This record gives sequence, C-alpha cells and structure tokens, in this order.
Amino acid sequence: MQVWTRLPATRTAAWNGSCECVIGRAKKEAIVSRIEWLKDADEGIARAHATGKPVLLDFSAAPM
Amino acid sequence: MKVVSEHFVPVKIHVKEQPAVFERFKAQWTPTQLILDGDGIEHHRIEGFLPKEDFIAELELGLGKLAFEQKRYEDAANMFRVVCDEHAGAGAAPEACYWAGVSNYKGGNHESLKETARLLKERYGDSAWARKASVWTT
Repeated sequence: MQVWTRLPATRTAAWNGSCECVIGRAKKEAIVSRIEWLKDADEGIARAHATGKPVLLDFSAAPM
Repeated sequence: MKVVSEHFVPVKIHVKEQPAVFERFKAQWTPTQLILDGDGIEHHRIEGFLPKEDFIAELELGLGKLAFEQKRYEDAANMFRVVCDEHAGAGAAPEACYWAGVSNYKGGNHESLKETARLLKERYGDSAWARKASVWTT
C-alpha cells in the first residue's frame, strides 16, 4: 500500500497488491494486474448486455 | 480488486492509445471511471485519484445509482446503505446515506426521509447532502 500512496499512477497494480515497483530514480516495472481488463469499450458494453453486469470504463494515462 | 472483478466488466482505455474513446465518453482528465449499463448509458462518473476506501465506496455508490435508475429500489437502498454504514468515513458516504433514504421512500417507507435527514445532520452536518435533506425535517 505504501507504493500505492507514493505512485498513484500505478493504482491498478496496487488494487491487487501486485505492484513490484521500484521507487525513486530506478525503473518501475512488473505492473501485473489480476483484473482482466478489456481494451475495447464496445466489447465491454456487449459483455455487459449479455451478463447483466455493468461496465467499469477506466480512462487512464498510467503505464498499461 | 475483488469488487471490480465480481461486479463489473472491466475495460481500460489509455489516453495515448485510444483518444477517440476519450472524446466519445467526454472524459476530460485521468483517472476517470465511468459505470455504464449494457446499453452503454452512463450512471456514475468518478474523476480524479481517490484513496482505496474512497474509491471502493464510489464504485458501490455507482452500483446503487445504477439500481436506483433501473427502479430496483430495494437493491439500491441496500447498496447505498453499505456505503453509508460500512464506509462511513469515505467521501461518498453522505451522498449514499441521502440516496438510501430516497430509495427507501420510493420503496414505500414514507418515514425514511425524516430518518435520513436526522442521520445526515448527526453524522455529516456540514455536508451539502445534510443541507439538501434538511427540508425533510419540516
């Protein structure tokens, strides 16, 4: 969680407790997410229509 | 994050990869999250970074709004109540308490507005939602 508070842009990784970022001048790497994000809004909406679950559409500028 | 995987179809759009999608949904800033139904209609918008508890509370508030707008008032009241009671320190809590009262009212509990106004005054007396609810005490 400490990583998360210092690097808000890596929130997705922090959500999962899976960020292996290095703070400071060193590289940030291995941002691994257990959430399986789609990258197509229309596909997401179609899945929402089929499953009854709503879409969470996340607009981000953080590294993917 | 469990709440995302269990309750949503998650879609991530990167500003540099898909700028047209930002335009389409009128996203002005990152991070922004929208909750859409299966017809692509927006029911809730979260703009800007939030700490984890606040963010989860906002997601649950959004699920409540979706249920409310679909006229599933009992479901909506339960979802709003979770935010109101279990995330009482989150920024979304006063709004959730307000809409829990409205959902209960729409579900047939005509005392719920007064009760909600009292609760909001007690817990969040300085909030805009307490002021909105103040009319229900008269």
